[in-house]
This record gives sequence, structure tokens and C-alpha cells, in this order.
Amino acid sequence: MKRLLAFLVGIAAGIGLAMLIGWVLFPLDRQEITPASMRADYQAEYLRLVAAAYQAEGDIAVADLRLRALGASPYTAPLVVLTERWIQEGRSTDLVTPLALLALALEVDSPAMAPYLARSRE
Amino acid sequence: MRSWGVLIVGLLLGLVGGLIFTWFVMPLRYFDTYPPMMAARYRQDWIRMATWSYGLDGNWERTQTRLLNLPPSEIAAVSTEALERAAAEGRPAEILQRIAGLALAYGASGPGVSVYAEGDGALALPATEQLPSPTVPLVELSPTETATPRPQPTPRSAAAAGTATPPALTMTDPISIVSQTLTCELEPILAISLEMSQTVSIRGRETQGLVGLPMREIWLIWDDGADRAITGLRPQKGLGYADFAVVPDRTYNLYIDSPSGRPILTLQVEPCPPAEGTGWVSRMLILREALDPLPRTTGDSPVPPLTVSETLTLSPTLRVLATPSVSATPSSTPSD
Repeated sequence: MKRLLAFLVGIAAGIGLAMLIGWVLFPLDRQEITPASMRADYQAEYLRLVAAAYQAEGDIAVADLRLRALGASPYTAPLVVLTERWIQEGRSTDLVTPLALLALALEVDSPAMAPYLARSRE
Repeated sequence: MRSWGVLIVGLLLGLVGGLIFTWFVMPLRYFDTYPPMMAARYRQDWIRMATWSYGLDGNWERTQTRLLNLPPSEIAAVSTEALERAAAEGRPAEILQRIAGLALAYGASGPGVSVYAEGDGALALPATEQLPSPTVPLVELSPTETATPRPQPTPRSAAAAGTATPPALTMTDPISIVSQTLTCELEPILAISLEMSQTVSIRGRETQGLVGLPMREIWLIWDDGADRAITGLRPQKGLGYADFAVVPDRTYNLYIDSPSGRPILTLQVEPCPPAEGTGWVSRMLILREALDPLPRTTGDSPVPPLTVSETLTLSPTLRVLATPSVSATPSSTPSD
């Protein structure tokens, strides 16, 4: 009986130690926390930044990779959804246009974005 | 087996089983994270994008929020890298200044940051930030650099003097050409060093020194094209340095600040003297701005062209050196 109790205590202590190691001290995924895990408002900010960086750098391949880091399927969905949502909410042109331009570059622009794209060409 | 032995066996079994569970069956997953928690490459990309965005819109408050809780050293490193890239790509001065201001605010240092942050972009920094004084090289003026109008050439080699005729250098404004160095290169360039003479006080002694002038636009215009460079993009070559690749069979006009009015210099790329082998003459011009410049000449009023003399020396290597002995400054320009 005493041995059984010692065995169970050992098991419990081992599991506790493993949880501490595996989830707190050395979690396996620690190195790969991606933008996909960010809170929704940070993800929206991330999309804004991707669009602004695309404006500055003009590199669609890099913008493509950055969008894929959000882990959505299709990967352009967050961009389209956010752009259309902000258009619907009547957000400022300065805010929406870079997103619409990025969507256009990725060929996922929608009719709702057309006025912003037309204005950017003027 | 004794009780403590059983305890250790249980502990080991629990540990192994628990690690398999926590690492492989149900590894830790993160939800609702924020940028500082991301893996280094994503974190740095976030900083890079925030830097570019600040370069475009200049929204300092938003940028600070975006970079909240991120390591300042990482921000400094990434923004400096972005600055170097932006400079290499010839981005507008305003963007370079903003990025430099951001880098400086997060503790970045280095010649590139100092060069760009010392311009108007310094205003983009928060009011509490104080820019350090830019480090500028001071060059002692040698007596030979005293301005003397209409100098006479002093050829040291009759052969060279006969084959490498210096172009006529004309000036229309307070910027004067004080020296020109010619070299023979297969891919010719026009290099400019724009500087200003300044009186500085070192340990109570006033000394005349030369400082390079960064963030100035240099324009090179030809019949069907134009090129623009900004001084100071390569601080290791001098704060006032800029250069252009030039090609033969074109007539170039050189302007400072804006491509209007009369050019500082009109030039063509000439072949090297036959004695020096094949190649084209590259030029290194040192331009000096007067301390108190006169208004620019906008009309076509006749300004007597001034000629900078050059002393041509043939070196044993494939080089034609033309070291001017004097500068040429219009008599109407106030002297330094």
C-alpha cells in the first residue's frame, strides 16, 4: 500500500513537472508564434502595415508572404474582409486606399473597392 | 524495491508521459498574442513595416503604439537597416529623414542615421527627444585653396596637357567648383563633394574647417533624360558626397538643389589620353557653397565663365590625375 502511494505520488509529481516544462519553461511552439495568433485588432493593424509596406517597398511577393503568415484560407481573405468592412463603416480614404491597392495587386479587389481605386488613380 | 525507488520510477514515468502530452499531444497554443510575443522574424518584420509606414505618413504617435514593448535595440537595428535600404533605393529625403528620426529615437547611432536625422526630419521626433550634434569631418584649409579668380593652368606634362583638355567650368551662383580630379576608368562616373567652409571653435581657438553638406539634391540633366542624387547617401565617402554613372556621347548639365537656371557645369565624358590606355575620364568635383550665398541668377544675364585650372600629371598607372591648384569664385560672391 505504501509503495502504491509512493508510485502515485511520483506519477503526479512527474506529470506536474512535465506540465511546467512543456507548457511554461520550454514550450515546443515558442519559436513560431506567428501573426496568426495575434488578437483581432492587432491582425487588422498587421494588415494595415502590410499594405503600407507594400506602398513603400512595391514588392508584391513580400506582401504575399506577409499575408500568408496570417494563416487564413484563402490567404487573402482577411485583407478582403477588412477592406470591405472598413468601406462599409465609412472609414477614411487614407485608411482604405492602401488596402484596396494591395487587394488590386493581388487580384482580389471587389466592386466595393472600385471607387477608392479610381480615386487613387486621379 | 523500497518506497523511494518506487517514487522515482513513478516520477520518471509521469515526467515522460507528461512531456509527450504537453509537447506532442497538446502543445501550448497561443491566442490573442501581440507583436512582442511573436517569433523574432515576424517581430522584426512588424518593426520593418512600422518603420516604412512611419516613413510614409509620419504619424509618430501611432508608430510608438505599434512599437510598444518591443526591444529598443531591435527597433534601432531594424530601422537602421530600413534606412540603409531606403537610401540605397534613392527614396525621397523626407522618408529618409523620418526613418532616421525613428532610428535615432530608439537609440540607433552611426553615420547614416546622423546624416539624415540632422535635416528637417528631426522635427518628426517627439519633442522630448534631443538630437545629438552631427559628427562632421573638419578638414583644415590649405593655403592653396584660397580663391583666386581666373587661374592659369600649370601643366607638368606637355603630353598630358595636350591630350586631356579640361572642360570650361561655368558658375552662376554661390556654389563654386574648387577642384576637379580626373581619373581614367572603364566605367566613368561623375562624383560630387559639396562642402561649405565654416569657422569652428576648438578649445577656444577659431579654426576654418570644411563640412560636407548632406541631403542636398544634385541634378544631372541631358538631352532626353535626367538623374538625381542626394548627397550623404554614402557617409563613409563624405557627408556631401554623391555620384552618377555617366556615359560618353552625352552632354550633361549639372545643377544643385533644382534643375533650373543656369547649370553649375556643362560637361561631356571624354576618352582617356591614348597614353593612358582605353577608358573614359571620370571626374571628382569638389563644390563649395559660400557662407552667405547671393540670390541665384535666374535670368540670362551674362556671367563671365570662370575656368578652373588643372594641373595634369601622368602617373605610371592607368590614371590621369588633374589636381587643381586653385579655386574659382566669382568676384561678386562674398568670400568665406
